[in-house]
Amino acid sequence: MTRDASPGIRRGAAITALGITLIYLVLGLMWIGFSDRALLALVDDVEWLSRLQTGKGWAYVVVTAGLLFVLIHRALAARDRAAAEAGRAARIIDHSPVLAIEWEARDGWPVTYVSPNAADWGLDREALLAGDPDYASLIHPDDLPSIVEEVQMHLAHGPDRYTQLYRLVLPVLGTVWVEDRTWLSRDTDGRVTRIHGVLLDVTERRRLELERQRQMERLERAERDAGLGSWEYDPVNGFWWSDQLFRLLGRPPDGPEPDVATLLERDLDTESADGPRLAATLRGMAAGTPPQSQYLHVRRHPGRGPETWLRFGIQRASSFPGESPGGAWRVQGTALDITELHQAELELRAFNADLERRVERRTAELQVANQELESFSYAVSHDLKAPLRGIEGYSQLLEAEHAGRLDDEGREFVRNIRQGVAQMNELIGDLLTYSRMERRPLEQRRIRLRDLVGETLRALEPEYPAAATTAIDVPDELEVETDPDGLGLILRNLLENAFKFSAGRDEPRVRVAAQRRTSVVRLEVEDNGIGFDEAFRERMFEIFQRLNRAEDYPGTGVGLALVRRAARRLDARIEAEGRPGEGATFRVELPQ
Amino acid sequence: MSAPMSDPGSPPPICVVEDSPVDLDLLRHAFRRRRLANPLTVARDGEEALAGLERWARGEEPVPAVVLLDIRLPRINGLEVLRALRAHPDCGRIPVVMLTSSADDADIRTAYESGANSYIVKPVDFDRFMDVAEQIELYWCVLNQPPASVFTSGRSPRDEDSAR
Repeated sequence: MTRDASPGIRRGAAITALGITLIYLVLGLMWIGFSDRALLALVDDVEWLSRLQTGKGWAYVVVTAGLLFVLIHRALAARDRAAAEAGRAARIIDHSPVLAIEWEARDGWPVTYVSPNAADWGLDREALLAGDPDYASLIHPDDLPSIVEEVQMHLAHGPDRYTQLYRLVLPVLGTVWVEDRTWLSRDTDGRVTRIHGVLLDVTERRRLELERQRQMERLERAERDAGLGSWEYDPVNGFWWSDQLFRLLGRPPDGPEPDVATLLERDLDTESADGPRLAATLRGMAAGTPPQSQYLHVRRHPGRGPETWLRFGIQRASSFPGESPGGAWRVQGTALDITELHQAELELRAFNADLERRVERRTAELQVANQELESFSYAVSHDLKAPLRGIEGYSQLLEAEHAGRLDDEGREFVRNIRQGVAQMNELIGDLLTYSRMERRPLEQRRIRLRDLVGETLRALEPEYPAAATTAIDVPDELEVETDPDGLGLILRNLLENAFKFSAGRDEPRVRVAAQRRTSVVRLEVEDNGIGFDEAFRERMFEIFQRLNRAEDYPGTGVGLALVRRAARRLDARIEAEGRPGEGATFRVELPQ
Repeated sequence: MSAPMSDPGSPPPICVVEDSPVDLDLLRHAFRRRRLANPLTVARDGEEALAGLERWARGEEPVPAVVLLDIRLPRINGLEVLRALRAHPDCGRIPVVMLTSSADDADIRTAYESGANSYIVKPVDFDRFMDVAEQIELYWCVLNQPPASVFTSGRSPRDEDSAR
């Protein structure tokens, strides 16, 4: 700009200078002609005339010199001011990131001006002005066709100001995104003479935009895969919905967000599940009341497509700092597709109901079975004992009233019959106790263990008189919370066993011990009797399991089965330890 | 308790309601060995027992000193007989001893609640059977006094257990 002014500017300056010169010529000649005539007419004296002529000449020169000074000074000052101004503008451009450029509007767009900061862009200014390379060759080949077309359109039809976004491939900086703001100069005929542009490097902005777009795509993909839509609401702007929410509600994603009333009427079935509460909450929001944070289940309006259930998450959020247009509060929400979950829940509920029915039926069946078992016990007690009573009664009558007609062997037979009856009677009694145990109601009482042990031993005394040296190692103060009858039965059977199986020893010894552990009370009954093989540890608790011959150790084979059943009813654990010939220890752990 | 139609010289009978011929026979033997003077009258089921009740009321037969009543009886069971007897306007005060095979708690409770004076489980052991006969004789025939608790039935199930 400073180096060569345009031809137009030059012509204007010449015309102005010529005009001023001509005016000066005319005025000067007129002044000479007029003043000479006036002097000739006024002064006759030749000497005076000659002096005045000289003075007039001097005065003319002085005035002319004054005028010259004024004119030249003005012109020079203006020129200096313009130069300073131009220099300032050039420096600003020099330091700005903006590249100013001017093209001639003809083929190849030869560059007619480039701002001096071209070097910052890695461009050689002189080379560019010389057309090597030409500007079009810098434009990314993918962008060039559309750029050319667009420029042609603007040249032909306007508008004369426009902005283009394209890539330049620069020798040093590589690919750079530029925003090109362009305006056109036209001559009086409307033909474009010059194209002016300022280029802004927007690579970073473009990168951020792409990054943002990628993030949005990721979010979009995540929402789509998860079936999770998101939304926001504030009192001023109303709803914002994510694309996925539009899809969940069966709406095209490019449509506008509906208002609350439309949403409730067209998109949701407000009668379903939490529908009424959701409707109340959303209406409250529309009326300016911030909602409480919550999750609500609602069905999509049947008109929106196949059955779909949504879980709406409503989360109160404060508005962004410094961004007040949203108003005082803001809601961040989600909407999750829970159709499958809902279906599963329904199925589970149906399954549970079915299970309930089956359990009821089973329970009824069990009750019937129990009743049958009870009447069986009753039959056992009545019908089995009745003939036994006959056998026993008549055997004794035979013995008492007809003994004379029997020889020794006959009497031995009668005794054997009565012994069999006694055993059978005991067996039936044990069986009844065993089958009745489940029906007996449990009682929960606090008892002193030592008292119970003492009572049980006293009760056994007539049956097992002085059977063994009995040691009781139970602390006086030890109390247990349990069903006294159940524990009594366990203790009686274990002690009976201990007495029975140690009876053959030279010094039979039985020991009852108890102590409190962390969460249980442990009770042990130990004897030095015949013991048992480890292999029978579990089996000996089964009903009718006998480890020894009946003639050696009489019994029904029900005792330990009774003990285990009673222990189970008390939630107690029972175990046995023993060795053949070395005694046995039975251990009961009562939960406390 | 008086027996209006009976001969003052002979002791009042003992009425046994029992369907099992074996039990009945054993009971006879037991009483015979105790040399009990009271005659035995027998009802073989609940209906017979109720018919006998009517005859006692009409004075056609002597009122028994005690009724020994089994529970499991054909047609009308012993507990129903007991309730009918207690509800009878004329014979409601006759002592009743349940003599049965059932040791079922529910039976025992129902029996006492229905007004039984005693409950005895038939023992299998004949010696103990004899003891039972002796108790019945001593308490209900020799003393011939119904206990004070006959109509108040104030015994608790616990007592009944120990009575067994």
